[in-house]
Amino acid sequence: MSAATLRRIVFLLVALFLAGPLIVVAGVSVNEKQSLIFPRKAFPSHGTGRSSAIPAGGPHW
Amino acid sequence: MRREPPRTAADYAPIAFPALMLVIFFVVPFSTMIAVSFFQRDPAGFYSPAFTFANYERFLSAFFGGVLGFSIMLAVMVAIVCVLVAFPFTWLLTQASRRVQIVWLVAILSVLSLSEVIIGFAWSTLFSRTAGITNLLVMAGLMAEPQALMPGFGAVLTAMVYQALPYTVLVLYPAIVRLDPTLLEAARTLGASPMRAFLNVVVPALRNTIMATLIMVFVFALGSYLLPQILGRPQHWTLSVLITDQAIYQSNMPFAAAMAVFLVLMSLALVGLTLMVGSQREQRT
Repeated sequence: MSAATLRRIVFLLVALFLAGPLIVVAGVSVNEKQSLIFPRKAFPSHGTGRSSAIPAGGPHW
Repeated sequence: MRREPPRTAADYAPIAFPALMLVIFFVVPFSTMIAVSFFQRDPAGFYSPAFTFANYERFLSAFFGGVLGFSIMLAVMVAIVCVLVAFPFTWLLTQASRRVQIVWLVAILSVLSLSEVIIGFAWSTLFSRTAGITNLLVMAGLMAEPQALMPGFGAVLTAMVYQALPYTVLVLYPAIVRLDPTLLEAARTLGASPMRAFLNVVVPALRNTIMATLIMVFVFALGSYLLPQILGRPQHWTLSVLITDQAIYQSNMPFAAAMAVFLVLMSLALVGLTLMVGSQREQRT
């Protein structure tokens, strides 16, 4: 195994380790149910997509 | 150039400010903690001034001894894993181009901005049954059905390594990047393989840096209390969790202070022992 290949493998593993939790948190943040499900089945119609569902008369909260 | 030893009071002026800071931010709080550790708990308030060894006597039990032993073992394991992962990574990073190094260092610094709470939440999600990594393994056909990987020792260790890894890389990086490249070239010229040159030249040359990094990560991990609480079972709770419990929830400040004093003394003793062993080995070689 060449040094460049070894470097790429180590960099990839460390990158996955450092970014993995953040990717999962980003994934579950667009979850439409209250329970956490990953990988998600469909993009939410509400939740973080709520802004698109604001009625024309303005928000009601 | 040889330095003259300080003779007058003015010669000590440069160390006056650091000494003052040390007194204000270490000596005074630590002395207060030591004093409180001998006080008596007052059920009506926090504590009342007294001189009793009852708090230390209570601490010297099999239960608290076990918790202290586990805390030290966990901190040692975190330090070793961090250095084992970070040292080869940092070495390979210093061999990469300047641009790659900068990108990686910025990425590592950005991970430092994550608080312990976010790290704990992220790993609890990643280790959960419904949203965790095992779902990906099931999708890949490597597992039959998803399962929770927390609470458990592995979850605590992984999250604590995640938290300490950026610090480890950032402490190792300046020393590794300054290492004389001709040392490695000489080893390679003499016929050593890259791996042998790394193990027989780079690692011994940076022995003191590795030792200092181990101590830093050990001390850092010893104080962690949120991750063991979020990701571990009660048997994985560190002494810091019990100190927080006693200080905040049980309102027993003297006992919490006694445990904290014991923890600081134990960590100082271990660090001192490590340094002593290191200096003795250096004198022999």
